[in-house]
Amino acid sequence: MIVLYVYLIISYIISLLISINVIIKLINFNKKYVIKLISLLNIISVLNIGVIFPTFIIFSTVIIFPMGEINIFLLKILIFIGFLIMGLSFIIFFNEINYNNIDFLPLLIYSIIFGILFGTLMFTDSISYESSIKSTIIIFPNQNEIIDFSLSSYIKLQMLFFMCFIFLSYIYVLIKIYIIVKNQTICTNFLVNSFYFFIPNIIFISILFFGLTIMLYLYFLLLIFSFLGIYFYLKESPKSFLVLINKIYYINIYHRSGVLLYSYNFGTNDDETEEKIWGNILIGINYILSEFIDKQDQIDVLQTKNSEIVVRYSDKLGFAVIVITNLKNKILGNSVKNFTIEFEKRYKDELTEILDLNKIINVSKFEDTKEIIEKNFSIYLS
Amino acid sequence: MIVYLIIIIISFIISVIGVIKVIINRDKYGSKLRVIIIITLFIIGDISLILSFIFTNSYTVDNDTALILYKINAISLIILTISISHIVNLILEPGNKPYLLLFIFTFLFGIILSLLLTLNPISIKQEGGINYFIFTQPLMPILFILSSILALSFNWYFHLKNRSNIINKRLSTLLEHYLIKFSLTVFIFNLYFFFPNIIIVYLQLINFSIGFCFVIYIIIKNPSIFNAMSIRIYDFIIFHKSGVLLFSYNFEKKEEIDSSILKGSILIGINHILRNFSDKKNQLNLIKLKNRALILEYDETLGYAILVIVNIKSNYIQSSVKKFMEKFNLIYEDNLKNLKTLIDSSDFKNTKDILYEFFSPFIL
Repeated sequence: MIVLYVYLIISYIISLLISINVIIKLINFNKKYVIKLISLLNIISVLNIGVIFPTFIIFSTVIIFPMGEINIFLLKILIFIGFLIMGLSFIIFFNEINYNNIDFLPLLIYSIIFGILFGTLMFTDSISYESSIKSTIIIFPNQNEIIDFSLSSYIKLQMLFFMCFIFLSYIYVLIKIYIIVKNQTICTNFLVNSFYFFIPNIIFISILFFGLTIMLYLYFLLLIFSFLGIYFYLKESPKSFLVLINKIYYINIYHRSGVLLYSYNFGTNDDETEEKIWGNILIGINYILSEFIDKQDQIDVLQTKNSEIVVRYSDKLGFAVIVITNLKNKILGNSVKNFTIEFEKRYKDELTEILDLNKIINVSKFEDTKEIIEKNFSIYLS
Repeated sequence: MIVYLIIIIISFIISVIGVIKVIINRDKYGSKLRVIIIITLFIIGDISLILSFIFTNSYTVDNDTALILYKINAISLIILTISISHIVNLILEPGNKPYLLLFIFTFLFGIILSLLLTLNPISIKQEGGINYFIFTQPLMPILFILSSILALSFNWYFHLKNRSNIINKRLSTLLEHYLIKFSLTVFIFNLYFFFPNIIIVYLQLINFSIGFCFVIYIIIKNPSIFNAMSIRIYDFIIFHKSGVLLFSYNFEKKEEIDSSILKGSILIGINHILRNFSDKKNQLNLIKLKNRALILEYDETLGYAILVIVNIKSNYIQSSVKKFMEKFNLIYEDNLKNLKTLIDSSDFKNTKDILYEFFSPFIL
């Protein structure tokens, strides 16, 4: 027993350290790529899985309180947190196909099921136990002193139902991603990511159902491996935390006279005449938007039937960047902003020279724009 | 109980009329899903009334059945409350999705559901032929009251927050009357937990029936309540593909606008955009700004485009524009096909009538 407790404590400390590291990594990642809501959910998930949840495990198994009621209460909180984590993970993965929007129906179903589970868990006799009555707190109980918990059939049924719902939702998300993305590598990465989040939850449920002590120790082991996996995964594959279905078709840079300075085709669209058309449209938009103050800050979305357009103006140097994509999002917006700043810096002299509309524009001067594009939009290059 | 039955029958007849009217005028409600939701809510209201008659009357069913029906009724009323609160939110802030509020509401609902199904939190007391339902588990009334407070706070918060943005003041007043009615209904419903007596039972029934019929009346008489509360149209402009203005209407001034008065920058801008008229893939459909949205729709066959300037993008406006175009094409097909050299915009002088047919809720 002593060896097992030592293993438990060491695992707990390692789990804490790795979780804190992963959270720091996620916070840094958030500044570069991830959307705030999903980033927050990811951080809460890791906090729950790696810090709060294991702490409750320790307090509900390693320390036995008198009468056992406190342990029952801690176990209830443990179960609640466990299912909350599952729910959060599920919301995060649903976001992958429905960018920055939490789907209404799955959230509704999850909330109701979670509410039913919580109500049954907290306010009914869902957990019973057998133990000899002690009047003192016991730390590191021996085999005879461990509390033998058992869950009611009703709560087990609800948990099983909840798990099935979550599991089927994961399968649904995976299938939908595969249909949209059609890229086996990305889908495999996504599947691996799901594995890291999902397997500890299955072990947790097994503990509750079968009450096997060995499963508890296996849980911690898997938890550590999961976090190491997530840690390296974040480092190596930042794409996985972005919108999987986001594609860029073109990036075009126009002078304010409508002349195309540079065009970059991402190879995701077959139309070769796209860039010529947008010059006219941009001039038209400029005229319309002159009715509104601060047009640069005002533009939210431009849409055609099949695409969304991100526009960034530089009034100072008289050019505009147009990015034609299937889905406008904050990550893309940040990339466009960074690209524009770098483009302004690199070609300040050339652009200042052609501010005068009477000057002839030599577009070959902007040939090196390719490097700036590939640097700022690298995650969109397949 | 005869009086009880009469009130229920009247409410039921009104709701049936309501369902029929909604089905007949389904196009005015914006989408099929919306029509289905409205009809479902009417049916839930009906079921609630009928169930309340059955379980309140101690001669109709035995105690166990009465308890089950009471529980079903409680669940359906909570579903009704959550749905209506969500609809109020959608009406006042289209496009806004209050995830946290939805989660809290439905989470609380889940807890109530679990307790109703697993515990026996309610007992029956019979007096004078009436069943009175007493909560033996103190947590249950607390949860119901908490849900009620949340629902009321949520509805009033959204109404007061968006009050100044509501364009149609008549609809705003109607909504306010509804909220007052709703608050009274919720208050009386919760009063029952503390004072279960015949007066409160009848007050509940009368209040709920009146409120239910009032909601049906609002929905039948004002289908535009789902769309016109916070959407404002500024300008409606029809251009020929050559850039010539065919028709222009300003909703704020409620009058047609001459091309010489229409802002030149908009004319020039549209001309540039229309140069790519024949290129379907790159036809700009939407320019969305912080406080405006410019919606563009094209008809390649007859060679014209419509620009609508609104405060927020709305699928309802886009579908109304498409319906407008269908009627416009029907009336002016020959005029548009024969536009070769000189374009006389006076040929389209009756466009205003078509506009009124599809956009009258927005012309205040």
